[in-house]
Amino acid sequence: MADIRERTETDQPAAGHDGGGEPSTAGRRRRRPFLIAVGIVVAVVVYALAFEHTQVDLTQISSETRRASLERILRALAHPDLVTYDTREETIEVEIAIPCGPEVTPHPDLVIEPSCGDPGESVTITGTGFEPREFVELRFVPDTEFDITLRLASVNADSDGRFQVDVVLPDRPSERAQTIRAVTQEPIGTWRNRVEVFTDANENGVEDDPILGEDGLHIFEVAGRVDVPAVALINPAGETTDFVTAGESFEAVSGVARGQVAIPITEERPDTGLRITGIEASGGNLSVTIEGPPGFDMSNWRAAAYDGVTGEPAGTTFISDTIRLSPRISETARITFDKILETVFLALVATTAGLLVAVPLSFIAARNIMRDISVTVTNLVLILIAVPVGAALGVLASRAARDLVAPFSDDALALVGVLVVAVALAYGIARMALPTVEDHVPTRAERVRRAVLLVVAGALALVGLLVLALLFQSAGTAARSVLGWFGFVGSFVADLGEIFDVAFVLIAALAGAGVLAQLASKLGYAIRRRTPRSVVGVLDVVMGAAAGALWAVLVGQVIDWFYRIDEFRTVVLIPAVVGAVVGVLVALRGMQRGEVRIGLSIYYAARTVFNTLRSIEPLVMAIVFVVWVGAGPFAGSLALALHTAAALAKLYSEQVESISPGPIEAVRATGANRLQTIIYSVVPQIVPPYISFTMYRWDINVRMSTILGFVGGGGIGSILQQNINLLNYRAAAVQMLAIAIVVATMDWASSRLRERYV
Amino acid sequence: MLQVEHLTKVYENGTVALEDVSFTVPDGQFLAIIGLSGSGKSTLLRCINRLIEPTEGRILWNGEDITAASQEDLRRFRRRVGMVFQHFNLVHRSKVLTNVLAGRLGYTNPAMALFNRFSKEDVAGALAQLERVGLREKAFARADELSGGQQQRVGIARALMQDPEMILADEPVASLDPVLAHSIMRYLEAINEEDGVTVLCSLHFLDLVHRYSDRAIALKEGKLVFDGLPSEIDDEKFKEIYGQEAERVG
Repeated sequence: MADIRERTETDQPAAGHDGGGEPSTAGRRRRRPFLIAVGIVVAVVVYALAFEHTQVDLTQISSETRRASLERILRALAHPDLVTYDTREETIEVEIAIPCGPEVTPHPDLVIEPSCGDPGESVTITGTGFEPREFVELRFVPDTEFDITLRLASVNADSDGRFQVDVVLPDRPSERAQTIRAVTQEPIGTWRNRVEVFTDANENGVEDDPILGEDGLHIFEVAGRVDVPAVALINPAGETTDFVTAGESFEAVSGVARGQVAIPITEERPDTGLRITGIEASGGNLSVTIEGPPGFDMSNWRAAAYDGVTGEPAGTTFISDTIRLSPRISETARITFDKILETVFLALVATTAGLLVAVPLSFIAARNIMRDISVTVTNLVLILIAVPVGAALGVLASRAARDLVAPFSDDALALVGVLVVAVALAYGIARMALPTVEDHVPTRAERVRRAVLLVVAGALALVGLLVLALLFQSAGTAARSVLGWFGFVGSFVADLGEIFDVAFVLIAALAGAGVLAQLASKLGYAIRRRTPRSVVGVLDVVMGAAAGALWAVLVGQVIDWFYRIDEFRTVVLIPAVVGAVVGVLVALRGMQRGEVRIGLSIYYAARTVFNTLRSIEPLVMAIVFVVWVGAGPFAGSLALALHTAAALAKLYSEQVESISPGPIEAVRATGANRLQTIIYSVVPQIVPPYISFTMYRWDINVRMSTILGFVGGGGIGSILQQNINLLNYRAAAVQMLAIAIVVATMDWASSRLRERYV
Repeated sequence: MLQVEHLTKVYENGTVALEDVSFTVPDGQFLAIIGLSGSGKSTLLRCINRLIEPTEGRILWNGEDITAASQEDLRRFRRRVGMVFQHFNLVHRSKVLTNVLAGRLGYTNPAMALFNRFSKEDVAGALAQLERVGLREKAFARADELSGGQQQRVGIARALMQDPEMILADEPVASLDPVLAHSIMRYLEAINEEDGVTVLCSLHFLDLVHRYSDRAIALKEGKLVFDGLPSEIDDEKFKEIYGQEAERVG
């Protein structure tokens, strides 16, 4: 290595700075060890600081207690709470004398050595014949009339089912023989042979069948005798599904709270078919009759009694007993499944929403697309004025359209009619305005006619969108109550309607801005063609001032909204003057260069916004959205969608930048305009990378959504965090397992799909 | 008739690609453009249809000033000027037919692009052009499944779809082997002779110039250094165009 260096240096002495080159490299060589030493010292200091600040403490790792806690957690994690067994208590009892005196009968499997002693003395208890590694609790049953026991010790049997433990005899002397009891919990049933376990949930001492009989009637008692009773039915999920109050003359009014009762009824009550049909006083209790479909399982359903006048709760009871299978999937596993589903869907919604925003935006963040877009100063200032004015007009028009359609909003038939007419007209007019083949140069009259027709068609299409939004909303709401189990599809349609409604205003604003900008640019060309240069210059400067002032005032309004300055001079006057000056400067500078490269400015602005949004973690965004829309998966998906939009737009735009320029050139050369060029030469090239990046992002989003719950953003994170805080590591283990499985599956699936389609 | 007057192109980084180039091409001529790599041949061809904006000078097509044309006029001019590229510049993931139909974009309404629609006549025309270059059966194959020579024939079909009055060919055979080169050149020759289309074609090999072109111009470092019949390029001229160390290979 050194050899080569020598040679190159001696080979080309003339190429360098003859005299200067040699000593400087020599000097560098001499300084080198010193520089290395300084580098090492700096590195040591930096890492020392890093250790200091990250509080690296290896004694913690080796400490006994820490290690014990770690073991406990790891073992809990290794035993995820997936299956619940009901247990049966089994006991073995043996007599003991405290102090020595009374005769005791020994037990072959539970031997106490010695079999008597004074309080405080130690005896050895040896157990045999237990299940291997079984957990045994040893209790002392004192000689009292009360049903109490004292815990002596707990121990695990060895692999032969034996244990031996020393216990200290309690201070409970008695003349009679007392008892030591070994208690074990026998799990009931096995997976092969599951057992029904009966629980007397309503505590009436009778075995009630939770499955409704042929007549569908069930009568039960609720504690709490009140003058005007009201009873609510509560499903296993804790939602009130039916509510009946018995007024002066009893009348069953399903779901309607009458009188002054203030009882929370779940707004969207799942329609289960279980209804209260009668309430009667029966002794100190209320006898409630309910009716439901035969075969209905009432396990874990409860009824709550209230005072029908004040709304005071009077008592809650299980409607029937419950029968459960043992072993069964644990409640934790059930909740985890629900939540992991929520997580995956959250990621799906966020990815889709982000994708829809990112695809169009990715083009304006691609340098190769935007580089060539430039406008004359005249057009720029005219467009700058036209855009906000057009957007405002668009919003006004959208409001007017809404008022126009409002009278029909309840009449579905009329809405469908308006929709069909609007869409058909829009299509027909658009076809009329746009000839498939442009065979001749259009005359001015033709151009005007086309432009007007296009605007009309666009307006009609917008009306169609609005009507569609209204239709979706009403149809969705109607469908929700009819569809039963598939009611969520109705809700989805209604939500889509609402999204269209919002989109309608946005699109109207964009369309207004677009139309006016187009007009402005035509006007700009006309002005430049017809007016002498000096006049154009003056116009440019004047309109530049106007455009600058307009935008500066708009920005001033935004600032005012944030800081509530509310002072005409600060938020209107000063920005207007500053904006006008900037506008004049830009106009003057643009006139020197001829054209303004507006494309690059938009490109840089878009890039900056994306990079800023991307650098904020979704976890942080979720906090803001939780404040805005409340805790839950919706907040999480909004946060994730925003981040996804920015991240995907950047990734996509880089793909657009890296496509081969040849086809673009070829398509442009055929006379294609910008839109055609993008569709025929850019889009085919970017489809595979777009698919690939979307999958990748969906993968990231699933991972991300697992922790959004930590800040209230929905998904599995919320229960994971709860369980960790409650030190319920076995439940946490289930959630971690679920996350691991889902993430691994997603990873695998997305890589397979990418392989196939890219 | 194409008139190039005092054409100069200076790139943003200061490179002078063309310097005061003037020449006239009568309708129906097969003009070869020769010169070393980097002598400005590609820039010249791209300035003619304004894929690259000229810095100075004018380009007149049938008396109309292309350099001053508005976007709409430019679109109308470009659609009558086919272009063939050294690297074919097909959209690889699109079908051959779609690539050929792209030649029709200058005639179709941009809004139709949103629905990816072409008229029935255009589709029939595209199939006919593919027939002409012998690739009818490949119409529904993906463009990147084709060999180099086939891709260039698709490129020619795309140019023909434009119903061109002039074809700008930027080293159309430089990426192909000699046998294929002749087959591609014969297509251009046929278009020139049968359809009377003006062809401007930059070439590397002098034997191709001798064989196919009516006239040749030569560029050296952006300047026009030769304008005449191909047969007039003797050894002295050759050294003038390609430099003293150059040797003739073909």
